Amino acid sequence: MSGYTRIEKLGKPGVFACTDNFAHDARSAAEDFGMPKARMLALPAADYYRLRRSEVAIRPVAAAAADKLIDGLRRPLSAEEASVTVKKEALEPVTVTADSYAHAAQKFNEAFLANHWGDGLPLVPPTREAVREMLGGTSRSPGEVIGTVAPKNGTVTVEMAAVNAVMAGARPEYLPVIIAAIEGITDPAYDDLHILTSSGSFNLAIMVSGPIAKEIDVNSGIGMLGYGWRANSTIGRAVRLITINAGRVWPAETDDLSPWEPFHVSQGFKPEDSCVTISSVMSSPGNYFGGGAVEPWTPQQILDNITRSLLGSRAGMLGWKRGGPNPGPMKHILIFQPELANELDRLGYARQSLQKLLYERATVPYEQLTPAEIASIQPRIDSGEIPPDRVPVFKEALKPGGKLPILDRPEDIRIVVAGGIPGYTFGMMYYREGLYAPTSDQTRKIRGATLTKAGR
Amino acid sequence: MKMIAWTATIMAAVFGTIGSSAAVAPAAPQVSLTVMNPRGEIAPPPLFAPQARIADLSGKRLGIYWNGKAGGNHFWNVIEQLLKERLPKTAIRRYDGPYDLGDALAAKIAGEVDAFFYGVGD
Repeated sequence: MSGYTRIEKLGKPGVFACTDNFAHDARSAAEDFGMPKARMLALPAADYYRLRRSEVAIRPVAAAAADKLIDGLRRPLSAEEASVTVKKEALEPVTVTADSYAHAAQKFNEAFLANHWGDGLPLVPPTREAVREMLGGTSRSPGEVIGTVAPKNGTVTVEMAAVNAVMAGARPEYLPVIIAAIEGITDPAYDDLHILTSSGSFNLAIMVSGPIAKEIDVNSGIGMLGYGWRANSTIGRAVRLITINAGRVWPAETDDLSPWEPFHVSQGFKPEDSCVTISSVMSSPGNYFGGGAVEPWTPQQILDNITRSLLGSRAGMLGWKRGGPNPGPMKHILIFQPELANELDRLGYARQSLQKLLYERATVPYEQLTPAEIASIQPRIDSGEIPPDRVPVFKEALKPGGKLPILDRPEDIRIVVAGGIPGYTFGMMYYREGLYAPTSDQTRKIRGATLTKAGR
Repeated sequence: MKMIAWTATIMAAVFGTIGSSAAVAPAAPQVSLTVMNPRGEIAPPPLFAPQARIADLSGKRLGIYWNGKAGGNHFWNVIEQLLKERLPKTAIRRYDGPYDLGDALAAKIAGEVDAFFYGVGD
């Protein structure tokens, strides 16, 4: 939108075209660049992204848009479009009243979270006293401007950073670290606009080094990514809150876009049931298989990428042994972007048939197996590690012309449809069997709910 | 950000009225919690209305800018074909460049066209 407004401001009428998923963002950006009534055309995202791969495919979308684009240049501006006004925002204090401090704190949280002034977790009330105490962690003036945060370019002062640090549950000694992180984010040379506005769900890696890290007890050792730790958690949270409240970023809501039955149904539950699945996964970022808005993709490409990833666990095959440090084949959770699921649905696939397809593709021809790999299978059969119903498959695979599955069962590929349009397909993994207990995931039906219609 | 004074005040409950003989139900004690505003102040930008439209595009120069996001070229290629069918006397120029095209390219485009379409590929 910045480029569009540059040309308009030079005296040329234009029309800005984007998908309907980004129309709200584009309108917001138009306000940021001083042209809130910019002429825009929203293209249907559900069609645009999947059909943009070729001129032939995208032609129906373009044909539907061509006359609207021309109209956008010809149709005179309405009186409303020709007059622009700005709303002055007042950063007023918030006072809540209740019959107890606990209820007042509850009302404060509800008000802030409803306004998107938080991150969804409970906030510590930033009273003047609490903020004053937080400011005690720095010698810098409360009114000092640190910078502005994209996309709305809200100003961060030392005091504003302290307010958000209180809300995050940070300690005063963390404030200088938080301010330094914000100095980095607000440096004009740093591209905060992309990570704070992209639909790609980017995040910040904040690395604290030097003696202060030890002094304020930042965890850089065991479990630094997988567990809660006050300095790590609240410094990161404070920085996120500052970007929310200065940049004014909030994700859009997404409807259920899956063409298939809900995940819990694939685990044997009824559609009307509500369930929770807990699953061990590694804390590494996971595997990215394709999708998104940057490059066109095809279902075949993404399925090929998934297959290569599944086959990657072959490297551990020789060490697979129940109860050991490498207890057996992996289970995979694959998050399918809605566009991919819908495209595969149109091609006739469902979750179960895709599990079977990927299972059969993630195989190694018998002739390519090493003698050691071949020898490693029989002990797993003898010990019962390979599920009894799969033993015939493995025995058949260990014959000339056979293909050895890299996973024990098709069901070890869990397919979940999630994300928006455009979205990405990615995966997480862990051992199918735990080290100390037989499973590494569980699904439970929710019951006993009193405040919702479901889960009672 | 504004400097705002905040208070967390516990308001005293009033139980009855001095000098009144009538029984008054005691008011529930109230706690008032005032917190600082967490938002960063936004300086409003200078405002502009869109430029006046062009009723007749015949004989005009029409620019199409695309930011290079893959697949957008296919969409705009087809749009260009359709525009040539619908507006045979309108010249069409194509441009591509970064997400934010910058002042120099904006000035170049503004100097070469009468109107434009701007596509971001999203």
